[in-house]
Amino acid sequence: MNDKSGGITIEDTIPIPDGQVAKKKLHFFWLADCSDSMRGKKIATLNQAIREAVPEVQKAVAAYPQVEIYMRAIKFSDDASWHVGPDPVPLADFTWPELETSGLTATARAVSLLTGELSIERMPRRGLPPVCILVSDGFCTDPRDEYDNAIAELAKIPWGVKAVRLAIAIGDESDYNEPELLKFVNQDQIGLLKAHSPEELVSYIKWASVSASVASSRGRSRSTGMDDISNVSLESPPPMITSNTDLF
Amino acid sequence: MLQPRQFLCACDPSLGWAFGCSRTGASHLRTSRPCEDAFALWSGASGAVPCIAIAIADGHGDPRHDLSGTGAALAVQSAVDELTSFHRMHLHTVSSHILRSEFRADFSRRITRRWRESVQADSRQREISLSHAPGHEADDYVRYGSTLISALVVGETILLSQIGDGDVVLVRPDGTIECPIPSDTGLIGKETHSLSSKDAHLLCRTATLDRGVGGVLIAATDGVSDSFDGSEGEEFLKFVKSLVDRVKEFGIESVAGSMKGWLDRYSELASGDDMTIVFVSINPVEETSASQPPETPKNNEDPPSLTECW
Repeated sequence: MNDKSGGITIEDTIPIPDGQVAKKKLHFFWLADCSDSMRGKKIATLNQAIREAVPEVQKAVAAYPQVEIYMRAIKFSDDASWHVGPDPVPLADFTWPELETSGLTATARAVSLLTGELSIERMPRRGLPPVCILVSDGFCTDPRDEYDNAIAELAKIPWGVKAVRLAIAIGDESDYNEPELLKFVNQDQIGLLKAHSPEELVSYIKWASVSASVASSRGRSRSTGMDDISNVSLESPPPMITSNTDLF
Repeated sequence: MLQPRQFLCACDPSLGWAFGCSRTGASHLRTSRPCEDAFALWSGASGAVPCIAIAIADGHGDPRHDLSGTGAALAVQSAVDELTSFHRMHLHTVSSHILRSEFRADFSRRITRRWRESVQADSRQREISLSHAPGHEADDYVRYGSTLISALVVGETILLSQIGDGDVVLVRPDGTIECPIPSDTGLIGKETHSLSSKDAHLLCRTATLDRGVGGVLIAATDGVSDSFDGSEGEEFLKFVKSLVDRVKEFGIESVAGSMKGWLDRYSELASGDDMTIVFVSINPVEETSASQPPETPKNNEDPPSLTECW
């Protein structure tokens, strides 16, 4: 084959150099509230919405073939544990098992479990920003100090700071603790996503998972010392038109 | 846009030769974005002292760095100019120890200043104001943000500088790998230090090496190492060693011919990023010349004579 620009003959017979080539890994975490207050329509909608969101994420990131998404999920009620994990699951193999409800709302422990996974020892330093989406309908029942400490620990580690952290609140605004959930969010321009109805919950789960994955996948380099601390910028969430007849 | 002088290959019979290749990343091609990497290779001599100078730069891809391709081109041009200027300034420096300490003490400040002057000149041409608001003057350079790795092979010494991400590795003839400027562990994700950073000269790292038995110096933008598995860069280092072996086995012309295809493949399969690699084969210091000081040049102001070959 002739190289038109330099006149150098390309030797196709030279074996490509050694070294294992690898796509960029994007780690995605769901943090799903499965406390007793989530029972009924809320948990049913959440289960269905995440199942529907997964193929949409897959479709959206097809434009970034150099990226491989690995998904995991943490569930929390009386305690926090892995719903899917701890081993990362390639998106193509990810399935969402039915989440059952019971007990209280151990949000602090869920955040602590996430923090352990985002440590530099477990997450490659030069990877893509992880995506973390918290979905909850209530007040954290862990002691307040425990929640604040969990958030502080998360904010101390590099990937805790640079991850895309979003939160979706479910139900009436008097049912959940908005300032508490906002502490988890590190996308100031997005704020807390408030799902008043099943329709909104589905829409926010899809929007958050797709847009955060796409934004992280872009992975464009930037200089240190910029004003905002996040690695990515998200577009605004879609406007919601709530149906008065179908609220949580 | 400014078009920097770029060479596929530069050589000096006593020092060695250098080869470079730059490719537009797969993700850039998909979104019709230009290549924001740049490289420059120079070989020449001031008076009787030959040198090889190389530079690679990676313009940041974030939309806030919208002129980063130009910033990268200006960076490699500034680096080669500054290296050759440094070379001319120190023609009389007999001791390599003094040469090295001068480089470590001063080069970071000189290169960042020269780049900023180039950016100012470019912005004047574009009629871009470089000061929008008091206290935010440094932000104006952000549009041109770029990394930079540069090296000068002269006499018994190899001088290196780096600001931002990317890799520079020296493979000695016995296969020993030296990483003279280790990765900056303070950086995470796609963040990088930059020529446009405030106090950029303090973020610029330098290293000096003995030319000694020679070897192969490889400098690459992060698109190359990001294509390989392994958080500590172990697979990238396998690639580096293997590349050196390919050149030994098949010769530089053949490897140069294949390099474009290899880089395109890595970008397509893995990082998606622009890819630039420079390969400098450094001859060992000859016993006779190693012990002799360089000859006094006839005229220190002689511009470096360029050697280009394809």
